[in-house]
Amino acid sequence: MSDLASLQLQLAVGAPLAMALLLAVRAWRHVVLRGVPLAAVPALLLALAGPVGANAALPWLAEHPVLELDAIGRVFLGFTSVLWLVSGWYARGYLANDAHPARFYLFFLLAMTGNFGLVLAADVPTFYAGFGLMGLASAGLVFHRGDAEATRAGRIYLALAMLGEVLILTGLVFLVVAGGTTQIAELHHGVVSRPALLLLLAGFGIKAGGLTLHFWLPLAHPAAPVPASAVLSGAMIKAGLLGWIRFLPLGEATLPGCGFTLLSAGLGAAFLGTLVGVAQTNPKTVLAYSSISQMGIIMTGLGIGALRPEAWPVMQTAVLIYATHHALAKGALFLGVGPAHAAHTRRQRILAGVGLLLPALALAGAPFTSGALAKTGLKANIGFLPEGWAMALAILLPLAAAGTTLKMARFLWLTWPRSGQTTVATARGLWLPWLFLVAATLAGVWLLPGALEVLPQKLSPEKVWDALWPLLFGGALAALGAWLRRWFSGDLSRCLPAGDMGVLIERLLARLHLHRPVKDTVHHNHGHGLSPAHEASPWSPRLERAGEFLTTLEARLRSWPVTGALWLLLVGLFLVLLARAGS
Amino acid sequence: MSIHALTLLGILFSSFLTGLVIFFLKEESHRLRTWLNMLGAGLKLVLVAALLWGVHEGKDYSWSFEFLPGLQLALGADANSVLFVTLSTVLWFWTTLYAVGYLEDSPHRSRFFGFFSLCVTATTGIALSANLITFLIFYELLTVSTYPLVVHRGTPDALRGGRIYLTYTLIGGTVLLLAVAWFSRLAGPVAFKERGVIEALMATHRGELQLLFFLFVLGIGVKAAIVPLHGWLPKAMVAPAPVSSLLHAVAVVKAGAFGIVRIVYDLYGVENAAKLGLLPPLAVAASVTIIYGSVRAVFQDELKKRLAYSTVSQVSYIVLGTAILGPLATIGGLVHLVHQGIMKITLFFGAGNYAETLGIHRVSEMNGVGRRMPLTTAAFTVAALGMIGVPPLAGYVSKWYLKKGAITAGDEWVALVLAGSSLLNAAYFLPILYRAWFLAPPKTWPREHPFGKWETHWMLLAAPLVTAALVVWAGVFAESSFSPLAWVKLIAAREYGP
Repeated sequence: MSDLASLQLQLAVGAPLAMALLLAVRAWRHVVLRGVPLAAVPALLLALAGPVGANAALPWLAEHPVLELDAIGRVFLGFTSVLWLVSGWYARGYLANDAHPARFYLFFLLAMTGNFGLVLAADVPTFYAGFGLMGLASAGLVFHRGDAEATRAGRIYLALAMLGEVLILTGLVFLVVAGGTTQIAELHHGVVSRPALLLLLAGFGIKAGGLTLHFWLPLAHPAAPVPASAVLSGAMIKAGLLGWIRFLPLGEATLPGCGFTLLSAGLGAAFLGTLVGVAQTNPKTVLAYSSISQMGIIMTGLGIGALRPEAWPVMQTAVLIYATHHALAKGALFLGVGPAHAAHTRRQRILAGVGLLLPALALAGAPFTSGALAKTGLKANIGFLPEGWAMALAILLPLAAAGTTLKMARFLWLTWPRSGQTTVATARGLWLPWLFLVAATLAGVWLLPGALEVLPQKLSPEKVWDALWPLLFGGALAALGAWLRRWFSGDLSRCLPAGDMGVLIERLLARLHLHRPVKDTVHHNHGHGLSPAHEASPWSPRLERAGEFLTTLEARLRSWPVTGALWLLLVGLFLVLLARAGS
Repeated sequence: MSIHALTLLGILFSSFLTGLVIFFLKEESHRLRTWLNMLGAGLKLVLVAALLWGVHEGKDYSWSFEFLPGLQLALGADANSVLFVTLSTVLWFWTTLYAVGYLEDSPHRSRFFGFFSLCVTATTGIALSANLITFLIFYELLTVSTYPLVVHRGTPDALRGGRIYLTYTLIGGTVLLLAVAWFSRLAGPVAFKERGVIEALMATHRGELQLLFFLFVLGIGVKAAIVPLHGWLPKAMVAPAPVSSLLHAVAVVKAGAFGIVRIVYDLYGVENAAKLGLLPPLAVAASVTIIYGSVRAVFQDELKKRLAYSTVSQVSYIVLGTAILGPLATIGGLVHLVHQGIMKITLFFGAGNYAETLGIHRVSEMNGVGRRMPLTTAAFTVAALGMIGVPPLAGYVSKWYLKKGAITAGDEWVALVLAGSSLLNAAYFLPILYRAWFLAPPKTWPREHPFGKWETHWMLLAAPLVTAALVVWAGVFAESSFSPLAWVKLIAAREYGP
């Protein structure tokens, strides 16, 4: 492979890393901070113009190539780099008055490095390194705001992310041992390793927000500053999806257990996301639940591929289109929260409204949008499934789309720019990157390889209706909900709090006295005012007591009777030895 | 006497003689003592570099001397000893520099540095021992020369910690003496050899060999802090920070782990040990230690105590790698001997800097310390992330090989133990990092000691930065031909061979 292509690959991953390292030099800091959006430019150029099959071998690092641009990676790199670039650009305006911009950008750049690295990884260690770096660094983004909500979200995120990484690493080692190589492209010519499947399904499921492993997501994504939410919910969530595509033997073996797990977890997530999502009052939380639903729908696509290997090549195109569509639209919606809140003049309000409406419609799958294309692609392959599942999906997927419409209506209701807004937020520097991303949402998907073939040959009213009725149904539901609200004014998010299952788990742990909930950060920030014993331990009294028990046990072991008994044992052994020597 | 034998003796005497001279120096001759220390450490470094090259080229290093009829004092260098001797020499150099900065203005420095040098002499002696008797002598010498360092401060707490240390290690030493005597009666005066020396006894003395192995592990396990023989280690953390570094990363705990490696690979031979059914119990003991140490670490608020329990857990990775048959696990275990050393020493340097500069001893006092001491905290962070196993740092390489080795050998449960341990490591390290970087610093630190231009004394800063750089190097360049991993692969190739 040519040196130029190799250099391009190294630059794509190396540019954000180099900038992160340069942040350490205080004197250069302000220059680096200005240039943050540029860190994603080499990756974007690579995605647009890089030759597929290019790889970078770094002889000082490993014998084989560590980075490679393949067709799948190119699609992922495309939307990922657009999102990082726009978010970095947006962050410059958003964090203009932030107290710790350097800290934010450090974690931002490191997470970017990890994200590009895992997309371009040619071998397992590189993939895992990128994944781990991204997971840990984005904890810094979630913690950034520093209030009680962010602290709670950060802790839960970090616990789940670490669990995910440990599961993934163990699964990957199983896979490498079974496959006898670390090169991702050659992994699956070996046997399918059952423990690996299980571990990877769960591990990547945490990142992708699969059902029962999703509850960190509606806490963490909204807690981060807006530009970080956009990359978390648009780009980084897709790392879980990429992990599955890379490491499950899709298209090579029939995986019934894996397929049904993905189908049921995906459908479950799609509907649970709607149910809890519409009850939320924070628009960013609504978007996070929408991400759970959308990833659920993508998971059904993977499930079909796992059940029917022959369907995977077609399915893969559909999944890639869907992933790109969701990444861009979700990013545009998140970034829209800032300008919408700060729109003062009538013209600004109209612009913000249109800018929010377009990606929302796309996500809901309105005809002629990227969402309609993505959904058509996905539905076209239901036929591969056994009769019962095909029937079920033919009904459930449009219903899920109706749910998406409902959530989008809820989101628009919460964010819609109104005249006389009392917020004093400024949106300087936010409009341009946001509108750029809205434009990318409209155009991006059509550039994908295979996108145009998914289009129906002939546009019939029937097909338009197929795309339209979930939208109308969802809209009707939203109208019904708004009408019902006249008589019912309680706060729904009390019954269905953000973080649904996580809240239950927290309550359970508190009931068992195993967990001390995060109270106020004031207590953390100025801990020196409190008694050290109180500040010292994050653990509940019950766990504390268990720890003390072990301490006494160890003290016992140290006491003289035990030592004395050991001595006696030794003397006895000496005597035995002497007796044997004498005989 | 050949140049090779002179190299071996030179490595020992470079620290032994400096130690002896330092004992007789006046307390005030700070400059001379520092020069002597650094000269000794530098000379040793050069000699070890020569040894490293020589052993790589396949040169034969040996020296022996009959000090009692039938008892040989024998030194030699194989790939295994070079691994340990290089680790302890490199880390000793930086620890000495650190100790000079740390103990500035404190009393009894000549006594301290004298024993410090003796301690390292004993450690290199353990590494270079070519037979059991020599190993035993240096092993006991290490116990004796470390005690004055543990009680150096002379406070009641320090004396108590020292007493507990002595009780544990002397009993362990006695068990080891017993085992060595018994083994020598059985097998004659034997030298360590790759793939073991007990081939001839396997058929006839099965039961005795099993019992002996148990005694060896019991004796050496005290220093390697295998649960339940670990009780001394958390108590010994009352010693000054450079001594903790020495205990945890350079000398004592490492000598224990190295001892077990020697017994399994070069006395019994790992394949023989597997045939005798000795490896599974050892693997279980190591796994219990790994989980237990991590769980205890989670509950410690005293920073050094948390690190001490972390050592209990991490050192057993080495034992675990030894207890699993197959070259991959061997590589994982042995490379952790080096990786754990460089990571843990960085952490203790960091803990020492916090204590010496700001008077911080507890995790709960560490809020915002990253803003006050960014470089120290950066080094600490690198090492802590390495311990968790975050790629591409050193700890990740160890865990990768250990997991791969365990799964290849069919011991899948070990992979789960390692996964659980990683989670626990995260549970006790990540909260520290969060406090240090994200929480606001207090208005006043417990006891701040101004050091002028840098965040702390330059000697205290240089050592952790260098060792943190080593952590990154050992991870990123693991697959290059100049890394701990490359050397360990050489050992594994010689141990299993065609």
